[in-house]
Order: sequence, then structure tokens, then C-alpha cells
Amino acid sequence: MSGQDSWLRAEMGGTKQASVISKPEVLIALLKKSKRPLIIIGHETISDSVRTDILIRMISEFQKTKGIPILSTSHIAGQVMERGVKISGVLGSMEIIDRLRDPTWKGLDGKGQYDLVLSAGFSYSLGWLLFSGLKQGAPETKIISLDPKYHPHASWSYANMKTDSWKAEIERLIELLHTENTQQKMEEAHV
Amino acid sequence: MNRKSIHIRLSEAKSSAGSVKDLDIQIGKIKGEQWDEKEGPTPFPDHAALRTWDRTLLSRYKPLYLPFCDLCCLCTYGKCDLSGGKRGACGIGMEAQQSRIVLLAACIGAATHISHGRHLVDHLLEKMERRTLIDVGGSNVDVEAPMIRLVCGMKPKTLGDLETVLDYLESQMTELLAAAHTGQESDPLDFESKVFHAGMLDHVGLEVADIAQISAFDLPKAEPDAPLVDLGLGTINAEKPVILVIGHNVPPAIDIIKYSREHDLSGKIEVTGICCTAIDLTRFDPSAKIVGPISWQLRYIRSGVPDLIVVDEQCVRADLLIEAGNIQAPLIATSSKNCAGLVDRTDDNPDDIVADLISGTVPGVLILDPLKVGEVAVRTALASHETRKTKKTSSIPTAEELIEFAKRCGGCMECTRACPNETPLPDAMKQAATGDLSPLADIYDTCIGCGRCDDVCNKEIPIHSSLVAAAREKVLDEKYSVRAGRGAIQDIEIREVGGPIVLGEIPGVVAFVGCANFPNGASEVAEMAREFAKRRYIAVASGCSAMAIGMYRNEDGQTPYEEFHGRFDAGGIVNVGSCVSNAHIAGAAIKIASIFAKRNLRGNYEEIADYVYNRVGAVGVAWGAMSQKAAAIAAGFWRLGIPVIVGPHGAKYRRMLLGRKDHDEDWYVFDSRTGEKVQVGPVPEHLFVTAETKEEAMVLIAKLCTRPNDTSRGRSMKLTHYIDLYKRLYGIMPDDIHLFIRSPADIPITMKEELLPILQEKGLQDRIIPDPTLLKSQIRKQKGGSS
Ligand code: SF4
Ligand code: SF4
Ligand code: SF4
Repeated sequence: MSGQDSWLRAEMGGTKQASVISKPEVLIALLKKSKRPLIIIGHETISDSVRTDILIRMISEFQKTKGIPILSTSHIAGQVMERGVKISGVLGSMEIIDRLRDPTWKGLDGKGQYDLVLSAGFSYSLGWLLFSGLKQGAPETKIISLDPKYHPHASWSYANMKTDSWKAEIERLIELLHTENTQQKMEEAHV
Repeated sequence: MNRKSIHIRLSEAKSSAGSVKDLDIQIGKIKGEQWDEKEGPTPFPDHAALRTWDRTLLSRYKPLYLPFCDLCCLCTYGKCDLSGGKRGACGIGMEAQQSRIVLLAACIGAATHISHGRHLVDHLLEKMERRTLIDVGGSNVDVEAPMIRLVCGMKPKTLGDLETVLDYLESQMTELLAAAHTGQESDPLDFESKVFHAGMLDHVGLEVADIAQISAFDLPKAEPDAPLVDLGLGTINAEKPVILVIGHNVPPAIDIIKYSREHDLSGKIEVTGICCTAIDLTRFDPSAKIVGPISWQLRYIRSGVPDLIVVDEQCVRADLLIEAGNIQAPLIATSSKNCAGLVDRTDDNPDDIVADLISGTVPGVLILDPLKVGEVAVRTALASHETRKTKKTSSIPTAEELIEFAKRCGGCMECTRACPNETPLPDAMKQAATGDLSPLADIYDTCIGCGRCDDVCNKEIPIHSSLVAAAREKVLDEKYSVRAGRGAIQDIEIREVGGPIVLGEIPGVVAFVGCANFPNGASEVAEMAREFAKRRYIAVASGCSAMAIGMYRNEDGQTPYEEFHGRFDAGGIVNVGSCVSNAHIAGAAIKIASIFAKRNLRGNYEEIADYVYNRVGAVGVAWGAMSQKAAAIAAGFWRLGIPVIVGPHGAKYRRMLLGRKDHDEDWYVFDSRTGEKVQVGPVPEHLFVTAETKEEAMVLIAKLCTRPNDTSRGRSMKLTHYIDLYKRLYGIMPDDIHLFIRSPADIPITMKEELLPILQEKGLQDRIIPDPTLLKSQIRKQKGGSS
């Protein structure tokens, strides 16, 4: 399976294609540059049992260590909350893209528009359109696709990966977020 | 539109001096029946006549574009990269380009229905008098053609009158299509407004087609108790000669039934159908059988059961000649729109055609005369049934063969990467290789029968057929029923439910329409329809969605059509019929304005759409919308102010129409009594939206049924359903209830304790319920002036 082509064979992106996330450090660096990141999760976060546990751990870690708000689309909010994750907002997948492309949107907390969107748990063909809508509607907003299928319309995406290799990558990401956070806390404690 | 028309018809003119029967000369404007209703401002409107109304809606529901790719490749200047705000060589931007794509889809869809209508009317007028009366419900239906009355401002009385309507539709369609040419329309909202126009024309075309066929073929005339008909592969008796009809244009199939009746063959052959031809055929003859929706084509043909395949138009797979050849069944094409490369044998002797088909000299023929199709089809099927007995005619593998195929699988994933529903085929193949066929059988339920997996497997595993093989037991058990399409809604039904709907006491009308591109199988549609029928909404259905609803049995073994009544009333599941019968759904909303509220329909589109938008809590759900026709049907609903929800594949229409509930300023209406502007909240919140899951769709349905006109009692009932569904399906409380509570009286009584603290925190309001309108022209008393 070659890594950097559209997962659904017939989908063709265009002139600007997502960069591949080669290691979790890339994500940490992108997060450092972002002032207002947001996580959006689709229904496969829950319905695809292969991905559920690790995605839940990953978004919890983002939330704990970086304080990134999580928005859930479709009907999964309750189930995600039952797993101990705080949900900051619930909107349909179309509604959130519609708001993300509006520079005057106040955000979930009333503090303004987001500049980085981390996404996971969408079916490939729906994710394709959501990312494309955002890419065209808000060209300045960075989109990171965290699912194991290459999404050219994102700004950064994992390549097409076997589930186990992808899980290993996400584990490394969780680990990195954790260590970085511990270090930061220690540094703050020193100060 | 000023219509000049000269029409002269001389039937049976024997000689210049002899008798002339039926002389029928019309010069000037053709207006159908004399009609004393006052004519409104827009009879036969062109696009510009309703542009202001469209823009009013579009200022609330702004398009969100979701392009497939960055490019436009429509003309030889291109390809042009339109990403990141760039413009094409012609100057067009991405948003306008996407809306142009939507317009093209709506035009293709509307043209298909209109041309179907033209084809039917032409065909009928070859056999019947122009003055044959339109009759869709006898004395139960006075408003026989609400769309035509509303749009064209004429009251069609005869089949001949429909030609005038078709002339109008065709000229408008040509204009709309022209607007999509390079270097024409440039503004996204003007494209969108033209999409609405295409949708409105589409609904008129639907109405022409259905009222013509109801009148001419005596299909059920607004019958709530239309008979139950068989549905499903398991209902077919393969011991008899079996004919399969596929498509949307029913005359050839009707002539098959007529020929078999005339030759004492009824009951001796099975006439089975897929898609809307099947639906319309069972409206004509309830003993015909519906196999299933469009996605059942490959699985049924590959089963080898059909002895002959007859295709007409729309939604017919383009590879059916190959598939028919694989099971050694001849194919007859019957429509000039779908000639399938076959030799036109319309003028040949039926004996010769039958002989050629049976001997296999030709794989199929084109016959453009339905009467001849009737004879050739029946005779060929009888003979084909005999000759096929000695041949291998099924291409579905046996269980043993399937296991051998599965052992070949190398797990390359190409099938999943081709599958629209990303089904887990490689894992299922792995299991099948060990003899466990159940994962493959599970995929059968969600498979939409596209066959894309077959084409990409480099181990040449016949994947789709393997699914059918694995699901053999289930397939044989597909024994369901559906109520035959009843056609129009009776005036008396409208009179009875008009008040409760407009006041909000029947919480809504939910129309399940459209194709079978379902994300998780047909059962989700049945589940949704049952949920809302149980909640005493009015569930309406048509086309493949009506079939999908029927493919379900409750714990008592009943299909939804047995479980729920077929009246247009609370708690019903009402199958109106085929795609073209969708006209009766929009028609019912329009008839509420006319019969219940006594508004004039004649050429009065804007006022009636404003009425429907503000008062009639109706929502369309096209859970498996696939076609351009579905796009056009949706567009017809949008212009009437009726929201439409599509499933996840519907996002591929590449444009949503979304309201912003967080923008208070978007949700003002005029109180037509005073002219005051009143904030009414986001009702209905969207005009076109994709839901990711059926759970999300159900919550959206309940929410999008709210209207500014709801009484407090009505609103509290609607909110009870919304909140109850949200809590059950989302597992939490919705965070937007306060937007829908205009005053304490709107709070659902049973939820008061739970809701009051939330509402008090958000600030409980006390707003008036206006007599809502978006139109200044509807204000009875102008501010500072007389009424
Ligand atoms: S229609 Fe316009 S944008 Fe499209 S290819 Fe031609 S010049 Fe380019
Ligand atoms: S035939 Fe069924 S399993 Fe195969 S690609 Fe199409 S939907 Fe998927
Ligand atoms: S394409 Fe064929 S070989 Fe590849 S995984 Fe699918 S069934 Fe197996």
C-alpha cells in the first residue's frame, strides 16, 4: 500500500496536497505555532471500535496537556463524555465547517476563530469534503488529519497506514505530549 | 410569460368535402380550464421573476461549498486551479464554479423528469384523445394539480393541457442550462437561485408525469388503502418464467401485463421490477412484484432468476447488457434515452425478434413501441425460461466455490479502497477462507451493489457475487410488503390535518424520498420512518426509500406498511409512489395553503412558498440520495422553503444551505398583522444539510420541523420530540433549547423542571408569536398607513 495517495482511489485532490506527518514532533511543532487550536471528532471515533480507545486517549491527552477544546459532531458526545473526555461543543459536521470558515465566528468560548483544526473519526469520503470545504473557505486555517488514511485536502495528514503502525505512531504522540507536559511542569516548578 | 400558440388537430378528416370529426382549433394563449381564481403576479415565471424570493431564502441559508477538487475542467481554457481564491481563465471563482456544478446537476435532474413527462404525454396522446380528462382522485380531489396551478397559473383539465405546461418547462430548462455555459452567470447566489428555479420546474414536471399516468392507466387515485404488494427477492417464484423490468417509464411494463392478461398468461409468469418502474407497475397491477431498490440490480440479475430483462430509462446500470449476457438472459431496451447500442427493431415482425432473442443471434434489441415490447417480452420470456433450464444461468458462487475464491485473497485492500462504504472486505475474505461466511454476509446488508470491488480485485474474485452467496439465506428470506403508491393526497385529508400541522399539533410531515445510496443499508430508513410514525408525525415515502421502509419486519412480523396506516394523518406511513409521485408531497404542502388557509394558488408562487416556509413543518429526508434527479427534487423543496436532510454521501452534492443559529439578526420575520419585525429564532435552522449518522438525522428531523407559526402547544410538542430524541440518541441535553422557547408557554410541560434552570440561566424570554411572513407584500397593515 503506497502511503501518499488518496485512500479512496477515485478521489483526486488538486494542486495543493497535505504534507505527511512523519513523526509526532511535527505535530508538537505545529501546535506550538498555533494560538487557537480546536479538535473535531466524527462518529467513527466511537463506531470504529478499532480506533476508539486510542483516539479517546489521544484527544484526552491533547485536552489535558494543551487544553485544546474538543467539538464532537454527529451523536457521539454522550458516549465520549462517558469515557471521561470533556466536550466543549456539539455541532453537525457541516455546521462546524461553516463556522470555521467565518472570520467573525466567536468560537466555542466566545474568544474568536480557530487557526488550527485537528480532526479524527470521520469516514474518508465525508472527511474529504469537510477538509476541502475548509481548505477553500478558510485557506489560512491549518487542518491536521489524525486518521490513518492520507487526506490530500488537509494541510498535514498521516499517510495510509496499517492500523498497528498508526496506533504505534499515536502512542508515540501521546507519550510525547505527556513527557513534554511533565517537563514543562517541572520547569515551571523550578521557576 | 406571454404564450402564443396555434394548435390545430383534425382527427379522422376523411376528405376535403367529407366529414371532419373532432375538429379542435386553439389560437392564442392556452389556459386549460376556465378558472375564476384571481391570477397572482407570476404565472409561467422565468427565473428572474422569483429571484427576490430566492435571495430572501439564501440570505438566511448561505451556501457552504465542499468542492471535490481544486480544479475546474469545463472548457478548453482549463484545467484551471481555483483554490485559495484564484480565478479561472474565464474569471470565475470557486464558489460560483461549485454552484454551477449544482446547477448542472439540478438541470440534468429536472430535464430527466420533464422529458419523462413529455415522453409519457406524447405516448398517451397517440392512443387517447387530447381531451381525456385528468383525474387523480375523483370527487376526493378538486385541486388536481397544485404545482401546475401554482407555477403556471393554469388549471389543467385534460391530457392535452399538459402539453402547454411541458412547452413552458422545456423553454425554461434550456435557459437554465445556457446559464451554465462558460462566460455566462458569474455570481454564486444567482447560480443558486437558478438551481431553485430548476427545482421548481422539476416539481411541475413530476406532477405532469404522475397525473398523466394516474389518469391514463387508472393508477390508485389518492387511495389511503391502496393494496399491499410483494417486495423482495424471496417473494419471486423462479419456477415460472420471470421478466425483470428496470427504470422509471412504466408504459412498456404495463403492456407486458396487458399482453399476458389478453393471452391468459396472468399468474403463469412473474413480472418483477427494480426501481420506480416496479413501483408504478404495482400501482397498475398489484400482483407484479418489487424486487428492491436500484442497488438490487446486480444481485438479482446474477442470481440468474430473470429470464428476460426489459430496461427503460433512468437509474438503469450501464453494464446490464454484459450482466444479462452472463446469465444468458436477453435484454430489451425500450427508451430512446437508453438505446444500449442495440439495433432498433421497432418496425420488425415480433416473430422475427423473438426468434433472434431466443436463438441468441442478438444479445438484445431496441424496441421503441411499448405495445410491441409487451408481446415480444412475454413471448421471449416464455421461451427463454425453457432454454435457460439447461444452461448455467446463475453467476453466484456456491458456498464451496466461495471459500476457494476467498483463499485467493491476498489482503491488498484495493476492494475496500474502491468501496463507497469502505466495507471491511479483506477481513471478511480472510474469515471466509476459513469457512466462516458471516462477516461477508454482514457486508451484504450495507453493500449498495455498485460492483466497484469486482473491477479492482487483481485475484479476480467476484466479490459482489460472493457477498450474495454468503448471504444466501438472508436473500431467500427477503419477503416483505409495501403499500402500492397511492398518488395524491385527498382534499379532505388536507382539510383535516391542515390546522394541526399549521398550529404545530401534528409535529411534522417527514418525507423519506430518493435513492438507495445508503451509508449503512436500507434498514436505517425503516427505522427512521417507524420512529416518526410512532411519534405521530406523518411519514411520507416515495421511490427507493418507500421500498427501503418496506424491507423490515417488527417483532410481530409486520412490515411498516402493515404496522402503520396509509392515511395522510398522524401516525401514518404514506407511500405516494415513484419518483414522479414526489409532486404529491410538495403538492400536499401547497394544498394546505389553498384548501386549509384559502390562499389563492394561481400564479402566486412567492406568497404560497412564504406560507409553506413559515407554517408547514415539513422536512425531506433523502438518506441515500444519489442522482441528479434527487438534486432537482431537493431544489424544488428548497424553493418552497422545505428543508432537506441527506445522508453522508449527500455531501457529495458539494453544497449545503445552512442557517446560523448563533446569528440572532438572521431570524427576523414580519408580523403580517402589524408590519413589526419579530425575532422568531432559528426555525427551521437549515435548508439543506448532511447528517453523518441516522441518529443525527433523527434529531435534525425533529428540530427542522419547527416553524415560526407554531402555537405554544405545537411548539412544546415539537420540542418534546426534539429534546427526547436528543437525550436518547446523543446521551446529553441539547445546548440550544433556549433558542426555540419564545415564552414560558412553549416549555414542554413534562420537562419543565429539567428545563427551567437551563432557560433561566440563558435568560427566559417572553416574545410574541407573530403571523409570520418574509414578504413585505404580505403585511396587511403597513406601519403608519392604512391596511
Ligand atoms: S470554465 Fe472557466 S474555470 Fe472552468 S476550465 Fe473553463 S476557463 Fe477554466
Ligand atoms: S459492490 Fe458493495 S462491497 Fe462492492 S464496492 Fe460496491 S458497495 Fe462496496
Ligand atoms: S481486492 Fe481482492 S485480493 Fe485484494 S483484498 Fe480485496 S478481495 Fe482480497
